[in-house]
Amino acid sequence: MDNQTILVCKNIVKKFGPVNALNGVDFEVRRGEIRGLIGENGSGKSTLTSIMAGMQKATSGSMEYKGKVWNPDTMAYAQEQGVCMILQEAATIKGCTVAENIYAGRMSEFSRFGIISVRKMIKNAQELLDSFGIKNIKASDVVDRYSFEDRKMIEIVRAMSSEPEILIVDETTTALSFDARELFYGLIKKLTEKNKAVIFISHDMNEILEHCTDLTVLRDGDIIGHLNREEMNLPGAPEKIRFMMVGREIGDAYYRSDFDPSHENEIALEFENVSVGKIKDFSLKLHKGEIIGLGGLSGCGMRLIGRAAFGQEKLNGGKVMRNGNVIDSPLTAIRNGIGYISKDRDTEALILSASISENITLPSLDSLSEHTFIDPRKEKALVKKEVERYLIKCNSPRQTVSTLSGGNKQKVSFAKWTAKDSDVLIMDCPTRGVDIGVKQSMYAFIAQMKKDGKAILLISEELSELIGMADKILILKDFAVSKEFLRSADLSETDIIGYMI
Amino acid sequence: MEGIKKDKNMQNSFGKVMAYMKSHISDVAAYAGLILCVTVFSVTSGGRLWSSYNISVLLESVCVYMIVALGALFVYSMGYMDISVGSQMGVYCLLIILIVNATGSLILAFAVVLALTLLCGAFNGFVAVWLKLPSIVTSLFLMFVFGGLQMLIIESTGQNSISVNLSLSIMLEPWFILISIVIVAAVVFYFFNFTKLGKYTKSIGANELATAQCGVNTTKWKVIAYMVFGVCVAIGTMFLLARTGSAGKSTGSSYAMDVMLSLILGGMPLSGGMKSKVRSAIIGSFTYALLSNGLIISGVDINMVYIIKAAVFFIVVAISCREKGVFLPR
Amino acid sequence: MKKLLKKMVLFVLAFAMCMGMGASLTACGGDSGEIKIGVGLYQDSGPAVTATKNYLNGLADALNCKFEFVTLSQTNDEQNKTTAQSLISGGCKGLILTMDGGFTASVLEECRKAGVYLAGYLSDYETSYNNIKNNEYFLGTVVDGSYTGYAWGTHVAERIIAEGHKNIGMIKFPSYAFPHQSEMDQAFREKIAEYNATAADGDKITMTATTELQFQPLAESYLEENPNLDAIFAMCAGVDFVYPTLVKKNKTNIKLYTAGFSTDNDVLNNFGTSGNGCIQELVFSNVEAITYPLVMMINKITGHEFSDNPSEAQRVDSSQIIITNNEQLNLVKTKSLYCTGNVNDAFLSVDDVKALLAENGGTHAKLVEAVQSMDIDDLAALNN
Repeated sequence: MDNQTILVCKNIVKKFGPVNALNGVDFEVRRGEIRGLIGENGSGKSTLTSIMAGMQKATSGSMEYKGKVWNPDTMAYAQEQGVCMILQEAATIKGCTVAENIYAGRMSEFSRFGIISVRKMIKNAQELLDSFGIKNIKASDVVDRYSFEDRKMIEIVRAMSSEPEILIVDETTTALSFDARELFYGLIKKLTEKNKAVIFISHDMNEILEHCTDLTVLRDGDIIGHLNREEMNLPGAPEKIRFMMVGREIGDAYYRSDFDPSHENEIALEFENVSVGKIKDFSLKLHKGEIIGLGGLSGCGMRLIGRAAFGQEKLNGGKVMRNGNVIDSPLTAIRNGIGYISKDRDTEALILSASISENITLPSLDSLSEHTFIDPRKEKALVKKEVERYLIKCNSPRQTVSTLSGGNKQKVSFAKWTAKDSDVLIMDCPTRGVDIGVKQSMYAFIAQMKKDGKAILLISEELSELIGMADKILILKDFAVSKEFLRSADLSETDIIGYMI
Repeated sequence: MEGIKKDKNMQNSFGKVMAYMKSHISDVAAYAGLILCVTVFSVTSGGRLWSSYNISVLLESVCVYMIVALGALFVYSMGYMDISVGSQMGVYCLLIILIVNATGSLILAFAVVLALTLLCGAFNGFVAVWLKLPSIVTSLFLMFVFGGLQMLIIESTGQNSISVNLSLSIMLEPWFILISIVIVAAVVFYFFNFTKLGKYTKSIGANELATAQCGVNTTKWKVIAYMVFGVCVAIGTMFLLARTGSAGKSTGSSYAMDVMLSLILGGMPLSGGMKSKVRSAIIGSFTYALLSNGLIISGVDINMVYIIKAAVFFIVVAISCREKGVFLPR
Repeated sequence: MKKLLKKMVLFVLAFAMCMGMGASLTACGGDSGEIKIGVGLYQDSGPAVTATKNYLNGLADALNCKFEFVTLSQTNDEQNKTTAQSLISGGCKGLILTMDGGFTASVLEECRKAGVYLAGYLSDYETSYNNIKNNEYFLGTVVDGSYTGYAWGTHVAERIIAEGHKNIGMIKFPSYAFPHQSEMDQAFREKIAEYNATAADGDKITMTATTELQFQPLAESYLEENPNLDAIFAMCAGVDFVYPTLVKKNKTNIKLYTAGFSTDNDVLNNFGTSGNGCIQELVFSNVEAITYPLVMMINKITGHEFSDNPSEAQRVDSSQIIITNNEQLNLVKTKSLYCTGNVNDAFLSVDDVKALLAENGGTHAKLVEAVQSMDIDDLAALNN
């Protein structure tokens, strides 16, 4: 171990029942590096890092941190010792102020004779936020007021303020807005300049290639290989990395292969001068067999449009129509064949504690019920069809959804609506937190849906996804449509990005 | 070689059993609690637990717990609660007595009570949503209203307790109780497992937001769940009244907590959700009734009874509520 | 570490529970031909409860009995029935309950089913007596003092005349709960009227209208509305409901004549001539009165019968200890079973009780006489 090495993992094995999440992984973190960790869902990257950060224990194997045996019992202890992890899902404490969240567990710093000086804590927190260049968050506010993106930033500030030796970032950036992301890259860069280390988990290949100094690829609990900066700069590196991750050629058939924006003439969903929130007079006609993409920076109002289409928002004016019916609640939306896949997969789209089967059938219960009776055989048949259609990896449909990987979870939220045979699908970031293998198949399903005459409203923060999938792209900026693009092979991200910012 | 393989198989199946036990810990705890009570009391009571007299006594006390708990299942599976049932039942008992004594019609009395329970159910379900209050607040409100009513009614009669001029002893015949329990349990089982009602209430308990996004009118189903509970409360009240044929100031008052404790002893998570099972109500009410009955027939000092009850309760809850967050690879 | 700790706590708790169950194992012992009797009291603690338990447990071996004590609820009939059922299931051959109510009929029905007998203790069974006095399974009851309130009402009136109080406040509990306090009230007024008829004008005694307390302490305004009182006759439990108000309003110069008793020093130290001298009379019923239902029950269970057994279940008066001066109080404090909890201080010794059983030649008349010969003079005589 040279003096640059800060953490060493030796032969780490982690078992979940009969499943091996990690089979004897050796891993080293050096000072001053941004170590990318990439792999498909279930490859073991979150497991490995969470063991380092004290969230769980390895089944066997040993770790060394700063030359001493490392076996943290809790995340709090690990953080105290300088190993800090920012989780994929929200981890702010509801009902507390921003300042309290930032200094959670360290409030004694502000206490005198057992009394915590709230004013001092808020002042310090605000200074901290300012020093990171975060202007829109006030330290004295309750965190609940802030969006998911902002809360994520608060977590990052919390992690940074503890001056970690090793910062582990688990797919956090997908949750951040464009500006915040830039801010964040700056922050981790600064950390490495101070000779600290960053472990960076992401599904976003571009992000990894742009910001990491080293890259480790995991697959099925094994380390497949390492790439250094030079190797990452080589042309063809993305293909090589994808191949390492998946173990097979992904090929070109990633997005839709055709560039034909045609669709049927029948209108499937219509926005008539809809005003909702800060959006004024939004009109749109979505036709059968059409994919319309909505893009923009997060906070531009595109999610609001998706929610309005499903009757979840109270409209200030105008109406959403389908087949001559006004959509004013999720119930009318569903009865008219509209399905909605929420971006907040774990809190809105799925019931994590329920089984795959229960999740898939939930929207269909209304139509399965005959004189109050819901036939379990019909439920079973329906679920079987969907599990087979999406190749959902599970032991049995009775398995709870919380035990599934992100990609399989997302398949379940798709299956809910195909089981219901919805004709209009509103998808809010359908591939968020999903690895490329599953992503590829999701895109294939979406393309198939178009062929089957379904109408799709695709809301996405990934421009490449919109370019690759949509027949028509609407770019929103400050709650208004700034530009429309039609599907074409020549369309590139740089053409679009100017209309977003 | 063969031996090692066998050993591995054994280990595997043992592991499977352990894994099952772990994932169904609350069920296991609930069954274990019941079995423990039965075996321990069989011994300590010198076999008197199984005397035909005691069985009939047990049935009599179980039936009220069970019928009310079966109804409560719908409400608790949503992660809601109702602490007004106790005082509601007290008032209903008094009302039945007054109506029967005045008109001689038990059916009229039952109809009035059923109407009231449905109304209270609708109130609990609807007002909670409408005013965005936690269900415990509305039921607390009802508890005070009914508690006050009970005092007013009993004080207006000028007696410590009033009795009904009609023999309800047929309701205490073991066969009648058994048939009633089986019917109520079967109906609840059907509605809980094979209809939208049960599936929706569980989903609401597990994730209300996601359920609403599946087109479920959560307000409507909350009200329905509370009303179904009301029907069970009305039936349970009839059995409660039949037990002594009289009612006083605190008749029924303990039932709100008794029902909650029964469900918890039966392995029901208080947060509701997908792990809610009909058997929680059935097992739990048996365990709960057995605890009171068994301790007294075993001759345990009355002061010890409370302590032991608390200990058993604590253990069952400690085991069944220690849900471990299982981190799976993402 | 934490996990281990949790496991240990669980283990210790489980162990404690098993110990508790084990204790119950030894407690129940098994049937050795002894008669098991369930005793339902209306409190779970207090001097009366301790004395009753000690007295019965002191008698248990000699009478080949075993007693199981439970607490009844004053307001929850259904719970009382469950308790009674559990006692029956637990092998009790007889139940002695201090409480009557809507549940009594259903408990007697359980008794009929199981062949178990019921008797009352310090309760007049006002609600049920007329309906159950001919029930084969009801063996009668011993009343908390006298069934009617006349005797004590007259007695207090005599004392008040003798002490020379002129303005008397009258306080009682509501009639629905204590119907016989009306008789007490009436007897008191009759006696005073008798006195007033012959008294000189300035010596006449005036009484307020009777105030009913709804089991709440006396309102402070009462003393402002009746400023000239020199004594209060509280037929209710005045020690708990009237005395604290007097103390609060600094009106302890008003003499308090009341039913009930307390072993609280605050009460005993302000009795008669000691302390503030506010409390002038205290009354309680003897724990030994339980001999009546106990003997009746053992007779029935062992198949013996008094030669003069009454044809219907009786409601028998018992004598009460009425304390009127410090000397008597001192005697009670040191020598009565109620206060000392010592079985040797009982009016009736083990042998006395045994002799009252039918099989040993006892009669109903002797038994009644025994429970009616336990007043303060008897206590004095016993300790001379």
